Amino acid sequence: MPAEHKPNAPATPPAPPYTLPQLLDRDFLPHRAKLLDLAAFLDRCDRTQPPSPREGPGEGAPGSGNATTDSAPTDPRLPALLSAIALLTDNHPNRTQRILDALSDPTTDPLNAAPQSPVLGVPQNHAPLTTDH
Amino acid sequence: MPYIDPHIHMVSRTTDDYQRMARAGCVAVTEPAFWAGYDRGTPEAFRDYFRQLTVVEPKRAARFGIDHYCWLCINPKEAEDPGFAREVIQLIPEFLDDPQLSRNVLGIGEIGLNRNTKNELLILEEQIALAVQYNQLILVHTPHLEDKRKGTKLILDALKRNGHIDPGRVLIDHVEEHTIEMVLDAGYWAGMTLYPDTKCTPQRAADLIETYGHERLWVNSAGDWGPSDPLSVPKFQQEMRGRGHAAGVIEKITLTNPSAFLFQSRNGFATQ
Repeated sequence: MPAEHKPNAPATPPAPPYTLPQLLDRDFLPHRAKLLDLAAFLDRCDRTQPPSPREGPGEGAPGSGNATTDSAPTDPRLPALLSAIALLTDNHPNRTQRILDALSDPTTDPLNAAPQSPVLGVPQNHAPLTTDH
Repeated sequence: MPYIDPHIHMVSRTTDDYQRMARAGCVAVTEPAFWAGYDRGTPEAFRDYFRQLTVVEPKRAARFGIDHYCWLCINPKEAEDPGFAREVIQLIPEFLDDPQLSRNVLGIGEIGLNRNTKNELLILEEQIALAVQYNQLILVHTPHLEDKRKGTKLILDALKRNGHIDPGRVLIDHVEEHTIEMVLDAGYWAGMTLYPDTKCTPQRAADLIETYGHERLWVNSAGDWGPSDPLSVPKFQQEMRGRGHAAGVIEKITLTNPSAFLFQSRNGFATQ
């Protein structure tokens, strides 16, 4: 959410120097392409082979066949991505911040030791989707 | 348009990159000490690295008319062993106390957290104390991806606990939409890192400028050995120009703001 007038917050910035039609003329096609890239990525996930028994999150696992419905239960990435996509169309502002919050570790205490697993880009304990996709 | 890249790891970049950056308008770079892609085996390896930052790189940059400054520390990824980390920290004063070696040193950085562990936090607090003791600026690395929001909060708490920190002399780097507000609200400077796959893109950094204004903000490439782009700052300038932003605003973010923050260094800061 944009900063309001808190003691150390910057002054409210002026409105951006462009209109919606100007923005769409300049940036619509690149973002249409990104949407298609995302759709194609999910289709690609659906076509993947089942993972080998020893493959796990962060080890380059390609996922599993029909990943959007039967993704490997131990890999939180695809369910988290699908959950985040839903935030794009909920008609509320600050979509970027809310997606980043949804993809953040919700805990607050420092860890006793560094985890063996690499960062994945989603919380390690992300709950699987319960909705149909 | 002239610009400063206030966070880039030139030890990992080619001389061709210096040339391309100079042609794109780069007048100065500042290079924090960082994880080189592997864990160094001895503290002595850091002494060599600090000499590379304070002696070798300034000469390499000068060939292209670029001023080179640096920051010294042990990075959070190699701070999980406190005994090892403290041996490295003990090397830093010999560089800060030497008039020749300290000439291009701006402060302590990039300190911070990697996986948000207790040992990382312990070493962060000790390096904050070192910066206070030597009246140094601080450049802070915030963690990656899912660890960033939690780590940023832990870092802000650690700075506050020290009790002697002027937020105006600390830059919290790699902010994104979910961390920028807590950093600016606490009075710190914030850096936006322009990366292809993680952190900010030039487009999202321009969005943050439009949302949060022009004060206490800069952009950097953090170019290193991984996926990164040493020309991302001029690409940010191009994005701002394309949106119709005034040249003065673009210059403020990419030249005036970093100059103003860095000028607070004990050794000062000046571009050619």
